[in-house]
Order: sequence, then C-alpha cells, then structure tokens
Amino acid sequence: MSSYRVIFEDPDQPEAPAMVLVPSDNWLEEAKAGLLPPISVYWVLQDDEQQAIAEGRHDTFKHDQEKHAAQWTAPRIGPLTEEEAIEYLVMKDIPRHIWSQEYNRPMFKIVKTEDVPSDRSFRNAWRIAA
Amino acid sequence: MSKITLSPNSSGTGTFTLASPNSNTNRTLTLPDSAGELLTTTGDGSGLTGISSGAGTVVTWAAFNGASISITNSGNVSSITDAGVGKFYVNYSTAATNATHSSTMSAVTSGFGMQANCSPLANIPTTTTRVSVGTGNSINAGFADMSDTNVICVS
Repeated sequence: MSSYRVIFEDPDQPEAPAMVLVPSDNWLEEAKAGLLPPISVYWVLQDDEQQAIAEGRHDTFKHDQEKHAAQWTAPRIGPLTEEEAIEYLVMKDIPRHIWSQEYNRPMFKIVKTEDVPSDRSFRNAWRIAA
Repeated sequence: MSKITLSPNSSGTGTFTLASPNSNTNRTLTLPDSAGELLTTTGDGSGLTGISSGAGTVVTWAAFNGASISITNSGNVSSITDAGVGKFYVNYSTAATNATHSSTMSAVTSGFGMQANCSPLANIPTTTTRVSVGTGNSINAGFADMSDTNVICVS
C-alpha cells in the first residue's frame, strides 16, 4: 500500500469537503517499473475531451486514434520513485486547475497515509488545514 | 521508394530464417507503418489494444473499501478519489476511447443488508478517464460509506 495520500480541494466547489486521492498499488508498481508514458500524453487527451464537453458533443466524442494509442506507443519515462509517482499522479488524476494555479491558500497537499483520519464521523466537514 | 533493411544483431549467434509456407499462391505480407515488435503465437500480447470480441471490452474494474478508503484490487485503475461520505471517483490508468460506458456497481456493508445502494453520481458525467460512484442507503436516500464496493465498466 502506498505511503502517501493526496488531499485536495476544488476552488470551483467551495462548499465541497476536501477530497482524498488514494493511489492504486497496481499502478504504483507500473510507475516504479518505468512503464508510464510522458504525462503530456494524458493532458492532450484531457484537453480534447474538455473541448468536446465545452462544445456539447461529449456524447459522440471519441479520442483521436493516434493520440489515444500514444498511451502505449510513446517512449516510457523510466522508473519513478514512489514520491515521483505520486507527483505524476497529482498531475494526471487531479483536475489541472487545482494544482497548476496559485491561490491564496494551498489547494492540495501530499501527506502520509497515517495522517489521514480513520474516523469518518465528520468526513463531509474535512478541509485542508492552514 | 522506401527501402528494406535486414539488420543482424551483433551480439547474437543464432541464425534467423525467413521461410515460405508450402503454397502455390503468391502472397504479399505488408508490414504495419509503425515501429514495434511483431508478435508470434508464443508472444506476450499484453500491450495490444483495441482487441474486441464484438461484445465490448472491460474499461476498468475496481473493488474497494469505501469505509477505510483502500483499494482491494483493480484493473486499469490509477487511483480512487474519496470525495466525501459515499462519493468516489475511479480514475483510469489509461483513458478509454470514448465515454459511453456501461457501468455495473454494487455495494454492501455490515448492517445495511439489501438496503445498500450503489450507482454513478447524478449530474456527474462519466468521462474517458473516470467514473463516479455513489453509495448509500436506499431507504432514506442518504449517502453512506460501504465496506465492499465493486465497479466494472465495459465499452
């Protein structure tokens, strides 16, 4: 199990509780084995899909075949440490506006797994501590 | 005119032979216009994509504990996002070609029995990179975390 979790908030949803990103062990093994493509491969796909959503054609949207295949055909970036893999995962699975822009407070934090509360009694009130 | 080069490996000692089958018909084998390795019947095809039986392909599957937020096992999942009580996103390792998935979900936890409910979150469209998962109590329609949550998406 990964030693890390990523806590993040979406500035577009100020009333929503903080979210917790839990890495998959299977994916982490792939990252450590050097099987991942450059992160830009995923960004290109995300951009194309976001554009389709904005233009109201998401229902019939299909990724460009060559861009989609780049997930397998692009040169691999080589083995990552767990810490590097988590940073990669932030840029892959957390919406870009959360981590690519500066806000007046941190919108995400990488924390140790044991630092995430196990008591979920007030889960919907979780926020990132200042 | 494009060219054909035969490139021996200076490190190996074996002899590779291109052999024709026993046939009286002329054939042309056209190589794909891309880099890579050809597979044989004994090769590892795990890197191949786009293979379909005609009944669709599994986009992703995940079994996770929504109460402790731990992933029991998964396929094509890079992470799971815990978005609050009974609200999750399953994020795919590799993006699907399109977002028109069929999702099947189930959830159960101690004390809920058959009143446990699980479905994609309303008004959250599935994309090529993630599917939303909502778990809760079908009696009062409230969200709740379930210890055994399972998701499978086919496309």
